Order: sequence, then C-alpha cells, then structure tokens
Amino acid sequence: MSNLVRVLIAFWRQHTREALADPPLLIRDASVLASAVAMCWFSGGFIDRALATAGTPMTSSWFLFALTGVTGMLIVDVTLRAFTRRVTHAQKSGLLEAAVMTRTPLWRILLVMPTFDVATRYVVCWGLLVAGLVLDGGAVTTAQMGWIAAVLALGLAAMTTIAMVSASISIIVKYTDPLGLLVALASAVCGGIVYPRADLPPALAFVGDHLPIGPLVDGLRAAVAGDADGAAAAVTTLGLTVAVLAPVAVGMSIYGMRRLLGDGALWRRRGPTHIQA
Amino acid sequence: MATAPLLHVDHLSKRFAGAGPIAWLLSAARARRRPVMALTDVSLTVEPGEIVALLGPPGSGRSTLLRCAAGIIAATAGAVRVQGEDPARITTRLRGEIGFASRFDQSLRATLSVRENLAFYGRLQAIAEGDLDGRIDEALAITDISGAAELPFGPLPVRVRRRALLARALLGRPSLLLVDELTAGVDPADRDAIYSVVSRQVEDRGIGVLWSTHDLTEAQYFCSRSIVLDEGRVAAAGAWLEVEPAVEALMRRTDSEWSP
Repeated sequence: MSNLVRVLIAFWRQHTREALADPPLLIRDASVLASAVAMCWFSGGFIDRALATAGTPMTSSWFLFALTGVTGMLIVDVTLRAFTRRVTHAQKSGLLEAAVMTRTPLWRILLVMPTFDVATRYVVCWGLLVAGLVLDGGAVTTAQMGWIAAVLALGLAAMTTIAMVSASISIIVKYTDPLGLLVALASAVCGGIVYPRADLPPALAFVGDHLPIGPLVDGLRAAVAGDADGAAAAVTTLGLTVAVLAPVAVGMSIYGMRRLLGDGALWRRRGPTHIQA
Repeated sequence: MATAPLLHVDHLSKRFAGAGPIAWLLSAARARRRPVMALTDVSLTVEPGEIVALLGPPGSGRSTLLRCAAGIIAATAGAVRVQGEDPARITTRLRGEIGFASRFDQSLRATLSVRENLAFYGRLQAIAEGDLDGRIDEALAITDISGAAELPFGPLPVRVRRRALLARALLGRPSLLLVDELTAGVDPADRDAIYSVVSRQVEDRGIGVLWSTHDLTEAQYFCSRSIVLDEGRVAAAGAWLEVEPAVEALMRRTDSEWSP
C-alpha cells in the first residue's frame, strides 16, 4: 500500500469518526440544506408563474435554476473553507506539527487534509442536483448525471486551485485568507446564484463571468437541462482555468510551506485569525 | 572513523519575522508582532544513551530549539544534524528517528480512543497495516496504558494523556526523543512513572533524549547533564554541579518560579 493511500485512510477514518461523533451537527447541516431546497421549491412555483405571466423565457424551472446556483456556491464554500479551516485547526491543535514529525512529508499532509470535506461535498452536490431533477418532475438521464458529475469535478478542481493560492497568501501575509473572502463574496454577488448574471450591472456580470462560479453554474444549468454543448463548453472553460492556475497554485503552495517551516507556524497557540510568527 | 552524534546543533540561530504588512495593518496593536531573536549561536550535542536536560525560564527558547532539532522550524543560521543528516530536509527515514512529546500538544482527538489516535499517527509513520496493531500494543505496553487503549482520549486523566503522548512519540521506535515539559503539572508518582518509561528506553534501546524542563530536580537527578538557556543563548552546559551557579544566578535575575 502506498504512503499516499495510507495517509488518505488515516485522515478519512479520523474525519469520518469525528463527523459521526457529533450527530446534532450532522442533523443541523442536513436541515439547513433541506430547508434551502424546500425554499427554492416553494418559491419556484410562485416565481415560475410570475415569469410565465410576464412572458420571460426560461430554459428550466426557477427551482432548478436556483438549485444549481446554490450548488455552485456550496462548491465555492467548501473549497475556500476546507483548506483554511482544516489547516488552521491543525495548526492550533498541534496536529499539523505532530503530523509533519512523522514519515509523511508536509505537502502530502496538506494535500490530503481537505479531501474528506471536498469529496463528501462533491457527493452531496451531485445527489442534490439529481434529487432536484426528480423533484422537478423531469426524467433523469445517464447523460445528465454524467455531465453534472463532470462539471462538478472540474468546478471543484478550478476552485481548489484558487483555494490553494488563497491559503498560501494567508500563510505569506500572516492574516486570515483575504483572497478567499473576496472570491467568496464576489461569487455570491456576481455569480448569478438566484438571478441571471445578464441582469446584473455589466461590471458585476464581468466579474461573475471571470470567476469559476460563472462557468460552474452555467455548466450545471446546461447539464440539468440536458444541453450537452453548454455543459461541454463549461467543462472546457473550467479545465483551462485549472490548467492555467494549477502551476501557480502549486508554486505558491511550495513557497507557503517553506514559510510555514521558516516562521515556525506549524503550531500556533492562540488567535483564531493570526498565524503565529 | 568517528560516528556523528545522535543530535548535533551547531551555532544555531533563529529569528522569527514580525507580522506581515497586511496583518500589521488589520490587527489590533497588541497582536502586532515584532521580529524576535529566539535563539542565538546555540551549540549542543546529544549522544546515544544519554538524557540531556534543556533548562531555562519560560521564553528562553527551549521549545524553539526542540522544534529546530525536529526539523519543523527552519534555522536562520547554523545547522542541526540528526545522525549526521539535516532533519529540515524531509527524509522519510530520518523522520522516524525522531520522537517528539510536548505537554502543550492537543493534537490527539478527544472523541477518538487512544488506540485510534495512535493508529492515525502510525499510518502517517508509514507503519504497515499488518504491523500497526502490534506496534500500538507495544507502545501502550511500554507506557503502561494498555488498559486505556479503547477509551476516548478526551476524558482521560492528565497522567494517562501525557503517557499517550509519549506512546505516540515512541510509536516509530525513534533513536532521538525530544520532550517538552511532559511532566509539568503531573503528580510526583506519575512523574516517576514517566521517568521510568524514558529511562528504560535509554537503557534498552540506547536512545538519546533532549528533555526540556524548568524543573531543576529533574535536571539534577534524572538527566545526565544539563544545558541552560537564557534569552536564546547557552548560559551554561555540563554536569549539574557545573551549571548550578549559572542556574542560581539566572533564577535570581529572572525571579521565575523554578523549583528549587
């Protein structure tokens, strides 16, 4: 068994046990998600009728439109938070320091640490969209499920590169995640989560188009509508984003790791926002 | 050919940079960190089969020195060698040669059992799955906490938790053990038990130990020699009688709560 697999097993077992050890937290998260879906579902009927009365054309129901937007934000949220949350917690508890003193290199620990959160979110998002399609009353085809899976995977990959850059910047500037905050905020406002980006002021629409959230939600909307060309275009855009950003993310992560060792910041005793110098 | 010492710290200096510009602008004045010279020109060796006390008041640089020795803080100047190799250059073989146990460590998960916690670090230590249970049993037996193996770590008493930290440090069968105030806040009987565990490892396996403490009794009776740190510099080094005057002078000056 390779060391990477062993490290994956170690972290996944630990994170699974921790997640299952706190059932109220799991129930709370599931309830929040379920109520968001229910809200989209109930308001969808009302908004669809209003749009039909106004003669506004929609490629799918507003319920699916909003659900894909919410799913896109779930992807943005998990990538931006999983890295910094896991690393910050590991720094404060001493886990990062203790883990680095084992035979596993630092880069492998940092790489594996957020995978549990990211993978579980991927499965939740995929399940959410498939369930949304069923709730919406349409037939769910294998092609739709496949495109949803592909767009989500590329969206996760694209956002992960940004999260890596963001986490590295937070290590370098020794302040909590300024880029992550900006990207999350811009994605929420400009990403066209519950309204079409075309209806935004041009400057905001431009920002939304050039963040991964843009092609991600466009791709998901195309996938649930069965538009293979639209989904393929989004996959291509997200793939190119990954190709461009991955070398930057890896380079900055290596530099960030050196700074972690140089600053003695593998372990920080206090302060939720500051990485100890 | 002379063999390299187990641990050789050679003219080590460590300067921590201050807060970055963004942190400086955004943080409150009390959180703004200025550059700190934590260690200056520190040299020491630890040979196999000896326990070396690292003495000094809080803030004297003991924890930083231990972390530099473990290769998890990069030195600003000078060198650290473990068995002749630089631990900062992460070699998987060398990592297994260093065990680290600190009383400040909160990395063992409260909701997981002692065995599950050790299994996590065993896997990171690249111990084969087939050997893992045996190695955990061995570490638990050495530290005499086999009875607590299946209990959640969180509610355990401090004495068992400290031994669990020691068990984790010994899981990789290290040849160099770095200990940071592991016996602080533990009652005398349990302290003796921890001494006994470490002494047995020194006698049976010939490991070397760098034992950071501000307990003078430990340095005097448990360790073979002492190194006294004062504001990041070596103030004295040698057998207890040789360092005692420097310790007393330092105690008078710092007015610290060192045990007599």
